[in-house]
Amino acid sequence: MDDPRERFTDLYDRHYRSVLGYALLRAEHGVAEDVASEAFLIAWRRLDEVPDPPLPWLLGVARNLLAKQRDSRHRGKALVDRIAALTTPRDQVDWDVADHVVDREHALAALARLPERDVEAMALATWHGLPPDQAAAVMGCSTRTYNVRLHRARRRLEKALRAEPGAARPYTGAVGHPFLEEA
Amino acid sequence: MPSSPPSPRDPDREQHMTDRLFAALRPRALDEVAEEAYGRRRAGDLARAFDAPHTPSGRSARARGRSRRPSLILAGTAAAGLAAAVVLVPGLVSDDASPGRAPIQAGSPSTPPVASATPLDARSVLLAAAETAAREPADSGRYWYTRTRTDSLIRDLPGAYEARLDELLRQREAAKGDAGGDDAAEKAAEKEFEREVGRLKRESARSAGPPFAAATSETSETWRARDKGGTNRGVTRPAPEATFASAADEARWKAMGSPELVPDRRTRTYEDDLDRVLSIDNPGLTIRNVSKLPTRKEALRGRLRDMYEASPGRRGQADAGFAAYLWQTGTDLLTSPITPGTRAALFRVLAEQPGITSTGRAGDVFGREGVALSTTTPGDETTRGDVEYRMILDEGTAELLQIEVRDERPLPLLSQAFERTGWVDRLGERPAG
Repeated sequence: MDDPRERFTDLYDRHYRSVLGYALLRAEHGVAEDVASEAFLIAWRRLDEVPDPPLPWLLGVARNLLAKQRDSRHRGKALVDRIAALTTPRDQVDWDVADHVVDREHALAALARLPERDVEAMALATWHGLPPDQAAAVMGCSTRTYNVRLHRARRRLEKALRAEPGAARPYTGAVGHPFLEEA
Repeated sequence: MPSSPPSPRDPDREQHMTDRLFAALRPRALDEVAEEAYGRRRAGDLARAFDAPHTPSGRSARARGRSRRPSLILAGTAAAGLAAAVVLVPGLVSDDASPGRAPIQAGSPSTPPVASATPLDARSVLLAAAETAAREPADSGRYWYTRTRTDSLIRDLPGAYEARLDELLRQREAAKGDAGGDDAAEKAAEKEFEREVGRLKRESARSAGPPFAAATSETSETWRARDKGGTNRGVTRPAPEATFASAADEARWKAMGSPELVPDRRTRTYEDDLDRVLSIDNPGLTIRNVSKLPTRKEALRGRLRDMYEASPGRRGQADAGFAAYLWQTGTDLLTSPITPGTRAALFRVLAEQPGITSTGRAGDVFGREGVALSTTTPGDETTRGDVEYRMILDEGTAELLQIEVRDERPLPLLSQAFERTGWVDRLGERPAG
């Protein structure tokens, strides 16, 4: 269908939740909603410039809006604070069932020590499921640069996890952790 | 999974573990929060977008010159500042913050209040409704069910007109008796009677009405058979008591000796196999052909024009009558089993109509909330001031919740709330949900 309103409604119905989910992990709830709505208003105004697939473009617009919003003092901790704000008891239950190598709080603490760009590189890959070229488009860098960031982010996170005092359970692979094979 | 136990320092294994752990940090509530916000903000976001100029592309936009409205967002800045953006995205004024459903606002509690909050224009609301309607699944069944509550302003005390007419009849008989066979006297009595009846009728039409504002209410359920010759059923239950606009109105009614306002509280039921009309202005529309109306805006507008020309109610009306016709016929169609495509086209036709304004959020008699759209026409000797026709649309589902006809009186002359419509397969059955 060539009708711009129909195209836009499709775009909104498919991607609003992803865009808001992205913003919710970077800004407080009310701000996140406004950012998501504003990102779609921009998409409407520039509908013919929206590429395919549209999600990286939309997340990039939201990212820019958030950058204007953001209090720079909070950078490092912002994501961890947002995760904490959105955490419910079910998350703890899930965590326990999955039998991770560290406690959830300790994992969050490790995350809080990472540079924000590293966390973002990982989030785009694991939470949003974006392949490197699309994640790079969101972050406004080359695919190569993104891959380097992602690699560095994983290394830093592994290191931070090992350094966490709560990492009491030694990393033993599957041995002694029956759930691990099923998880 | 590898068959042998991995070594503790296997880099792939470690990376997989790290990713898995990272992935698990994503709060589960996130999806529900996003889903809830999606449902709450969708209609407003769509309407706001359609209210804003849409630039086809950089080059062709320049070629076509400026858009009709000033472009508020700086050209080419995806990163338009949010502070500016909030001002650029006016929200609906929320004058009713009742719980249950959050009002649509550009500014949420966390952001500074929006200074320039103005109601979305009716066109945007209708265009957004069209998009929503087009996405509803088509449905079918053997009977089209509607449940409607109708509230009518009491414009005359029930029985008052009849009582005065009886009195005039008695006077006439008395005068004729006095005439004692005198032809001229009898004719004079007859003339006098006719004059008095004429005056009574005019007075009644112009009547200031009772000195209190109150309405009667009834709930009608109808089942219309889809198949020709099938049995239709209608059940109408009057509410036992009238409702007053205020305690003062009720006090004035009591001061009059509490005259009866609901003379007949009996439930009225009909069952027949007639081809009942769906729309008084459009006797050609039936439950069977209403689903075959055009699904494109231009075609539907043309068909509505044709139906208007053929409408029995049109008799000698000026062209301005089309707006009023469209309003009433639109209401009839929105509560009929038209296809999602026709619904969408109908909203688009309505969006083109001049003179329809959005008056912000409003509740219906059941407390359901929506956006009120209205159009005003000059009144006549039976109304007080102009007459406002109003529809309340649920912008989330594009459903018509209620229509109202108002003048300057405190209660609507008429309001109809469409509580439930849908297909069922048996008489007496109601749609689920």
